[in-house]
Amino acid sequence: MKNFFIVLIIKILYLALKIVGKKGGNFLGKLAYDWNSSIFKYFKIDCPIIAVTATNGKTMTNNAIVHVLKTANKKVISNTEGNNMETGILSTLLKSTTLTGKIKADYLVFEVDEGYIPVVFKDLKLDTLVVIDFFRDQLDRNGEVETLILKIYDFLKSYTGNLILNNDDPNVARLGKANPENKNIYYFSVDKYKHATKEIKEAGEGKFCPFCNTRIEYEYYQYSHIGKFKCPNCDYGNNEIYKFATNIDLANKSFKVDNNIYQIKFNSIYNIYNFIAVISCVSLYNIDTEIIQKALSTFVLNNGRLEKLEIKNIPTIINLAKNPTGANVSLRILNEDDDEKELLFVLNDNLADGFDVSWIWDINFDNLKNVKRIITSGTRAYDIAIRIKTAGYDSNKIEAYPNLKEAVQNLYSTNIKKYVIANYTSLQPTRKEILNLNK
Amino acid sequence: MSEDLLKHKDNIKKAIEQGVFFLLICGSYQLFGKYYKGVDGNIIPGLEVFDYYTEAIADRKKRCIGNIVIETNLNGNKIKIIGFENHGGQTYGIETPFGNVLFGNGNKFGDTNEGFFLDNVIATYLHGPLLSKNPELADYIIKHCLDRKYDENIVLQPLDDSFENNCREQLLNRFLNT
Repeated sequence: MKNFFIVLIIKILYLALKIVGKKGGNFLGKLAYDWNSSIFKYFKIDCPIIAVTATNGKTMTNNAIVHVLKTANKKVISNTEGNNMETGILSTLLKSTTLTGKIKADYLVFEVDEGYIPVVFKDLKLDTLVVIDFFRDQLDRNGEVETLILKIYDFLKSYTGNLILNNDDPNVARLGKANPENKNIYYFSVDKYKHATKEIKEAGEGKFCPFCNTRIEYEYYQYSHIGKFKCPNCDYGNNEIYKFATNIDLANKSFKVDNNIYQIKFNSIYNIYNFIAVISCVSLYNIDTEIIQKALSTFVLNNGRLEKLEIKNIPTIINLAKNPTGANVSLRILNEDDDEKELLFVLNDNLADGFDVSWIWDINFDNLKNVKRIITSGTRAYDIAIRIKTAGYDSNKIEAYPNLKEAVQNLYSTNIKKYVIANYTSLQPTRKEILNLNK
Repeated sequence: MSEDLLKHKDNIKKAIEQGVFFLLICGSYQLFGKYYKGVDGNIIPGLEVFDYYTEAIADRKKRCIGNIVIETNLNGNKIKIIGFENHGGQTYGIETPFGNVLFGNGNKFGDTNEGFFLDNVIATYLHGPLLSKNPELADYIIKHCLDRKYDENIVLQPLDDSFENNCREQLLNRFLNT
């Protein structure tokens, strides 16, 4: 009975907020969760629940799965705006539920913060979990990445649903051993791409086999610690692959799976990992290849995740980077582009970013290709300028403007192509400031 | 880590006596003392090069985390050092701290002292990265090493530290004037 009233009150509040033009975000979920933390039990859900987790690429993968399912005419409920902690997911459920807790949909698809999988799915029955990668991220808030992995590993010991894992990330593939009873484990992998290397180029995690402590061997690294690896002692990593992306052609934005060509709107290696995860996931629900192809060929995310814009007729690429790997893959895209370019890097140190900005020292700024000028901004504009200078980039070509507006105006004082990297709280203000120039 | 370090105890002691410069941050700061006592009372032996010792705070969830500013004395000049601390260990028995705390915690929660400083040894909880945030400290260490090697009061050629100085000015303003 109590839950009925909680849902009723939340519904009324939701309506009231809607009337005054507010979205509510996590707020309603938090209210309900504080009231009764086992409210998840109240919902009667008889469709599959799919969850996506990772350090990087949650929103991209989650929203692409939603887009594919919707293209297949399915009714999907999802937290596509990225509210991915227990309160955000609860908010999404509360908006869609009837007063008696029924949720009518063909699929529920959630991106879930890495730390919250055990919390959210204590009382919700998960049908498929997709795990893409684990990188070092906000040490002052999250602690070591190992702690996070062990939490999920523990949760998976009793999990028997579908588990879709990146076989090229040793931190992720290990989760496949959490429950030997679970027969529903599917590994995906991506074939070596043009810019893969013999040696690791950027900071990575998990150099040792989690099962026998032997140093892991790599045939190649795609980026960071993602690549074809194997434990030479216990053969860890040598799994049967469910979906394998080949013929990776980033210039033409295409790849092949099971002899079908997929055309996409993105040109980074990490996106290929996102989309092979998507293909693995929706294939389990028997979505036709043609529908997946069609959906992925139109899928974009206009929120500063590898977003392409024309600003005053100057090509501009904006990408979010909230940890070293995020920044490193952005710089990979920049370095794989032969054109002349200028870079804007915006770094804030607000609560949601983590107060500790020392992670910028794990970004690989060595040998930037054809970068004519770098502008820095944000509450830590000088920190990032110093980091870039220390990497050997000519300090006379670095300009630091703590004021974002000033930074953006100076960035567009030339006609050279722009790359923009911004961390969490700086992304939307930066994007807004840049879009203002087109007005 | 501790076991491996203990194997080199005699050599490390000798190097310190010979004036080799040691910059010890966080865990290495702790392990140069007598011991580190964990939450469960387990003792991780230190090198016992110095008399201080560290004890983990009883509440596992509590750590000294955040930006920190201390003031130290380098060759008679009072210098503000900026960094970031992230440690659960509380260090006791320090008689010659690296500096006094202007903002942040230091050796313990709400302490007035931070780190340990003795001639050629600076031990501290400050990440930062410490040297890029504090060029004068970097110069002090470089000069110390060069003087030791060449024995001729070397004067360092000035570098362009304008980004570093702007960074310091901005952060000191933010942390100390709130």
